[in-house]
Amino acid sequence: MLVKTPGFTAISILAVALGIGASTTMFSSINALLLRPMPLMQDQDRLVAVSQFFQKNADQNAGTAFPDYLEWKKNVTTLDGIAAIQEATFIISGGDKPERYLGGQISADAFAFMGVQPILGRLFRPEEDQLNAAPVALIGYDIWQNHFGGDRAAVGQTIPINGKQVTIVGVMPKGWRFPEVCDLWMPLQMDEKDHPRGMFFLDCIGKVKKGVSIEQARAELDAITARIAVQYPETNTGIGVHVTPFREEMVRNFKTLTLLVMGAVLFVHLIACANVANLLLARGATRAKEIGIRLALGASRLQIVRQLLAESIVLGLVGSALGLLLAVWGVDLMVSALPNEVPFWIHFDFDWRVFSFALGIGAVSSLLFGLLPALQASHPRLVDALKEGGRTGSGGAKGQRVRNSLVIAEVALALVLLIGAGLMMRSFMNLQKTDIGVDPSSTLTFRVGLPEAQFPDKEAPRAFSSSSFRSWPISRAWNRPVPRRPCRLRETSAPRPSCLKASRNRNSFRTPARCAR
Amino acid sequence: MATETINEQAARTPGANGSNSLIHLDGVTKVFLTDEVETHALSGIHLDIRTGEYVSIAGPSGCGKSTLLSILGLLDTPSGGSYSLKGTEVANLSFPDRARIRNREIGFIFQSFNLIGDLTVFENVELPLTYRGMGASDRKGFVLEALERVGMGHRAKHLPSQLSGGQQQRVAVARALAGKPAILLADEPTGNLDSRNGDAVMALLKELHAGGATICMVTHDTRFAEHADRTIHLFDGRVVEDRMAA
Ligand SMILES: Nc1ncnc2c1ncn2[C@@H]1O[C@H](COP(=O)(O)OP(=O)(O)OP(=O)(O)O)[C@@H](O)[C@H]1O
Ligand SMILES: [Mg+2]
Repeated sequence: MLVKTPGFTAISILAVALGIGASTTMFSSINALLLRPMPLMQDQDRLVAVSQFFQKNADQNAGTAFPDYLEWKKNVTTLDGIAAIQEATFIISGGDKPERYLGGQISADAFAFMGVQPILGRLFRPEEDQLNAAPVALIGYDIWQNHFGGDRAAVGQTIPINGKQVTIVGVMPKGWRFPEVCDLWMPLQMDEKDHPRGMFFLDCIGKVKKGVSIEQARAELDAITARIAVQYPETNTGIGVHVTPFREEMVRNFKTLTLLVMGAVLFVHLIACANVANLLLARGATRAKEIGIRLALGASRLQIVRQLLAESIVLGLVGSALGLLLAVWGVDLMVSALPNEVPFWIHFDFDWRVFSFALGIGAVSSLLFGLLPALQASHPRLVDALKEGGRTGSGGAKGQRVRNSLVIAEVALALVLLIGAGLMMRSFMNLQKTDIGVDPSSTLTFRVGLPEAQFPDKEAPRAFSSSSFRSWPISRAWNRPVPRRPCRLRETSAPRPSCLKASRNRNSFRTPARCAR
Repeated sequence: MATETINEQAARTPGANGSNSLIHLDGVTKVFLTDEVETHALSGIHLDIRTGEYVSIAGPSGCGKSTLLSILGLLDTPSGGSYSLKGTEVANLSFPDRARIRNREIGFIFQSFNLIGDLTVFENVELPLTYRGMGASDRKGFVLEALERVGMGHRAKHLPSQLSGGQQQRVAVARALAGKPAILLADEPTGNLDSRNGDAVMALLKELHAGGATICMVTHDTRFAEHADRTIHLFDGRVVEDRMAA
């Protein structure tokens, strides 16, 4: 029957495939963000993000002050470990030209308790984040390939990083770029004198002990934080601590948006289903005679419904397969539209979840658009259907009513969708119109890294910028590090994890400059 | 639940009239309501058909012949009166129960053949057996036997569109026969055929009757009405004449 009406079949399959394609595309991002396990890390559901916050601005994390982190680490009993990380610019020199990488200064035991192992060499030793420890580094797979040509002898080599001789102790596995897009790690050798209480800038990650709940860990860290506040009221009054599952914290900014878009896309798919249902209903009416004959021969309604449903299930499954193909293309399109590198743990490629989703939504859709027309078609007025030149029209007043209500449902769905899209558009435009203090159309930003070893003077950035930018064709530059005080990674609220990230490296700074016109 | 109902009702119509009565209609009426206009298609039909009879129903157009046949065939329900088939009251059965009885006890032959165009001759004849839940190998035996009886065994793989009208009607007869129903109902089976093909189909029915089949046929054609051993005349929804052939 499907083969005999190729036009109908093609249109229905196309409608279903478009709906499933869009839904599967969106689902693959939900899968990437929310469902799929993060690569390489063990016991991920026990990992927690820990951060201090200002009680007057409780839904934003402030970051963690170094001495407070040390206090937690010393006293906490509910965690297997707690690590702090600060992202920083690392410049590897010594080759033809210096190479610049984003990396992290991280507590020595971090990777060990996260359960990730190097593919070559070793992780940091616990004592290597002491202030006087010899400088060592772990390199990511990309650096190992690009800088060392994948040579196993890279481990043990000493290379100049940020002007200091650093020994490479290990190579991390391919795809490991913790926390987001880092390629190199050095132990967090930090001096409390330079990073006193009251400077909140570290990202912390901990792992809850087996059998301990996150609530218990939260209660303990709360207590420690409260104790610190009593002890150091001038810096820590009104400071609390957030303990959130690590995954949840990482997706905080996009979760709602992604789910919203998924909802919208499902609406579109529902409209597609309603359309196919309508086509099937119309076709059921033209088949009234055939169905009448079958019923006259003693087919039960169940048998007729099953036969008709089998056809819509074929439609649904072919739609699924085609939708998957469309989704491959859709995901490509979506990824290429992302403005920045995505964090290392986000993978949009299809796994069994995406396949089952496509298959499942295909099956559910078949029922959705097939059941009503099948039920409708399975009880014609038998005698009428079998009459000579029996009517092959609309399937009676009842059929008309069903089809009218389908059209109404479609219009309602489309309306809701339009309103939603309109509202989203408006908040997007408002966002675009927000005055951020500079005219973004003629503003450039860039980062310059000034390694401490070569530029020990704290005034170095100011001196560097005032001397270097003078000759550039820019009308004005803020020749000061922006922002001056280290600020937080996720305070940049746009759903772009690794962009607009203010450098927290003391001697590296980011500066907006205005183009000369 | 359904069988219970049948049994209860069967108990209320003990033995009906005469133990070999296959069909017993008592005061059956049918009223159609269209746009608030009542059409009395049948107004009190009393009728008995015994196993092995060949009954023809005649009468002017609009007198209710087709309506009577569709009630006999459980395609429609009477507005009033009682209908017992093989001693079981079937006038007000549920849709699934009627479907089951249609499938087992009744073979239809329509004026316009009503074969399904997408299915082969074999599959068309197989259909009632499939719906009965019969296994594939049993089905094959029944289908081939029925096709042989109507002389269409060599055309099993053809599509209906590849057959002449007379051949199509013979396939339709085979389909009606295949499930070995208690009664064959035919509504002007020759209406869409030329006289030669019509004669052939009529000869076939006569042959089936000779072999023991119970047949109830609607026909305008007095010539064909003679084939039957009993002719019933309807007028305005009533039986006005019930005559055995000489
Ligand atoms: N579905 C229906 N709705 C309303 N009236 C109907 C319906 N079916 C039949 N009738 C009416 O019932 C009466 C009997 O119709 P029926 O089809 O039984 O006649 P018939 O004897 O078979 O006629 P013909 O010889 O022309 O086939 C007619 O008056 C017809 O108009
Ligand atoms: Mg008629």
